[in-house]
Amino acid sequence: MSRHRFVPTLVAILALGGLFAAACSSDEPSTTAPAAPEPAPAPPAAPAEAPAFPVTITSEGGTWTLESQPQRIVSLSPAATEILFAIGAGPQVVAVDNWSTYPPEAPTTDLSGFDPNIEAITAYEPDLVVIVNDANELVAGLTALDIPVLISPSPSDIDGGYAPVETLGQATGHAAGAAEVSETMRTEIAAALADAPEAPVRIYHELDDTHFSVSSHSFVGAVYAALGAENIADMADADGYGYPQLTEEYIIEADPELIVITDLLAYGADDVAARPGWEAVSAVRDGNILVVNADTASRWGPRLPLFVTAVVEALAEIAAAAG
Amino acid sequence: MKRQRPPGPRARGSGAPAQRGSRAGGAAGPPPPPQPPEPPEVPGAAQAADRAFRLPPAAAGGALVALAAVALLSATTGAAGLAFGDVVVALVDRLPFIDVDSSLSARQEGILFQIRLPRLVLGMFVGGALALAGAAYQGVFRNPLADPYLLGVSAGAGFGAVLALGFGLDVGWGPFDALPTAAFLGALVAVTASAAIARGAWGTPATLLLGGIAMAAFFSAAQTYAIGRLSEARTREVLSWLFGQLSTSGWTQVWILGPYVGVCGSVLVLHRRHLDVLRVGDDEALSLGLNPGRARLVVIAAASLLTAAAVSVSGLIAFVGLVVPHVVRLLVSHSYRVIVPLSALGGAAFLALVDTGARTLTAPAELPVGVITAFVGAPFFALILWRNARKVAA
Repeated sequence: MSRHRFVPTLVAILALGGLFAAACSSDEPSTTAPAAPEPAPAPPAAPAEAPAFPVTITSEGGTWTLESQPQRIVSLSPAATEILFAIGAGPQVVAVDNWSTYPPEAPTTDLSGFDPNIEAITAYEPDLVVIVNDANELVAGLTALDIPVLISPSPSDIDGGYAPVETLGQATGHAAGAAEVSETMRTEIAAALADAPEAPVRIYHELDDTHFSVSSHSFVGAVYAALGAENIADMADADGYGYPQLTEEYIIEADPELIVITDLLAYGADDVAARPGWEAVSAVRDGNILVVNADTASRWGPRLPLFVTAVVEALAEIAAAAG
Repeated sequence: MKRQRPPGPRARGSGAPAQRGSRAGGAAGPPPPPQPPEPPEVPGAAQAADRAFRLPPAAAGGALVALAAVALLSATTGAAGLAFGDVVVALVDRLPFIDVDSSLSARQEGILFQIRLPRLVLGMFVGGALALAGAAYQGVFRNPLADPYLLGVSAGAGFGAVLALGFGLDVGWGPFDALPTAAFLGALVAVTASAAIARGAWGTPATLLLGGIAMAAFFSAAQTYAIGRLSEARTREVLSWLFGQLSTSGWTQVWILGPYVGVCGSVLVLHRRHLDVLRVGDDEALSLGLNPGRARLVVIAAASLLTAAAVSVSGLIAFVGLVVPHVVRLLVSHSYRVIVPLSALGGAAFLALVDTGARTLTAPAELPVGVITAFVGAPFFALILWRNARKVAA
């Protein structure tokens, strides 16, 4: 399918880059009040902290030296858009892609991140383009036009998401804001993890009604693993692809205690519960079908703690009922 | 493409009877051995020809046995690992007037009767329907490349599915869900448009075929554009559907598809003689008292309706409709009186078998059935083709 998997070494290199960036910026004076990361990240009063430009950023999109703070950012990554607004770079963003639906003040356009059109992007005269992967030879095209491009990859687990935040903070002159967002998220997620039940709960995350699911090799699955849940999709993902398709009779035999679906599907919890043959499944019998916000359950962004907390609450309830 | 036969008074086509079941016949050189013309009015010759074109009981019996064997295999294997004996006992228990104690738990009974068996039956229906429609299309178009999607059924259904999944098109009604109904209607619109473009030129299949190509291209383009406007989650749903799958919701899909298989399947089987007559050309068919245009209209309508119904519940499963009729043709006979019924049985057995593989080979993961049909079917077909290369004709 269309999910993009990143080579782990590249993630590691990026993480290192992020650490360097964090180290370089740690003595930066912070004049910006940290943005509340969720649910509505208000942009800070002062649009820019005292930036230390030029800054060198390195990603899969190449190494770029930004001579001054970018003022015309185009983001083609919904996750990066949320992060940019949370760390206080929102006023510098001139255009975001059609699926960047949050926060509401983000300047959503009809630009596409999956099938990007370089002329449409350059029409916004960007001085920084943030993307999630290099589709349609976009990096080569932007490089030819001397437009800095930053690939902000989807992390494969919770901890892997902080480095891209640091990189975005560095690139936009909001290193302190980025550190603040990271810190708040770490605190909230740690608090949620502390509430997770000891006993493993069997969980089934359904992506669509042909029973595609997420194993622990995917980002969402990694969240479930961090919560100590037993993901029934792991049995079906021997090669570590992350998004296995389960066969229906296995799902029923595995008897998940919690079924998670997103709110972007054409069906809801009632439809899942009404499926023939599913009535004997524990999650259906006990009414434990959790509908989560599709964005927070797929983007590593400032709203991630919302998703983690919702799942932890459901898990704790089930564990408590089981005694 | 079609191998031209010399015009003549022969009522029926090639030398298939001489070659049936023998490799030597296939390897022996120019395929239709020049046979003396067989005017149907000579009673002895007509009977001999009739016998040769009839369905051989051994082949029919063999196909039925294969279908039954596949059904038993499929019913007793699966990711849930129900024991063979327990499944058989549970099945026997459901037979009328027989009451034995099933050792399956309620959940296992649910797996067997609400998930595994409906899927098995649906696989048979879809496989049989596609192969039947493929045989019919190859017959009316006299074209070995014809498959059930020739007149834009797949592209029309795909476009309908995209509209239903991503753009809130809700044409569902009663027991018919929005997605299958939209796919069904999309398929019918595409086929009807193909026929309309050809201005009802049922006498000239090439015009109709080109109309189908135009419509298929148009709806494919519309579908591609629409998919590009979808969110990632919806794109995943659409692609899953386009890959073809036999996921069921209990027996619903079986009940929806069943009437089409019954009615359209009967129409096609009843028209199998007409397909044999059409093979010799429209003029000859006319001289034999068959209106080729009308025969084509009926067969294409039934086959398209059947395909649209199958696609609406299973998505796009390629290869079955194209290849099963050829396998029957190469292994058994060129006669459509043989090809049509045996394609139905063969397609049913093939798709049920492949789907058993789809849900067990990588269990508990699942493989897309539309992918494996070609993956295992293509080498098998290649082997048959290689051994019988000279026998191919529509």
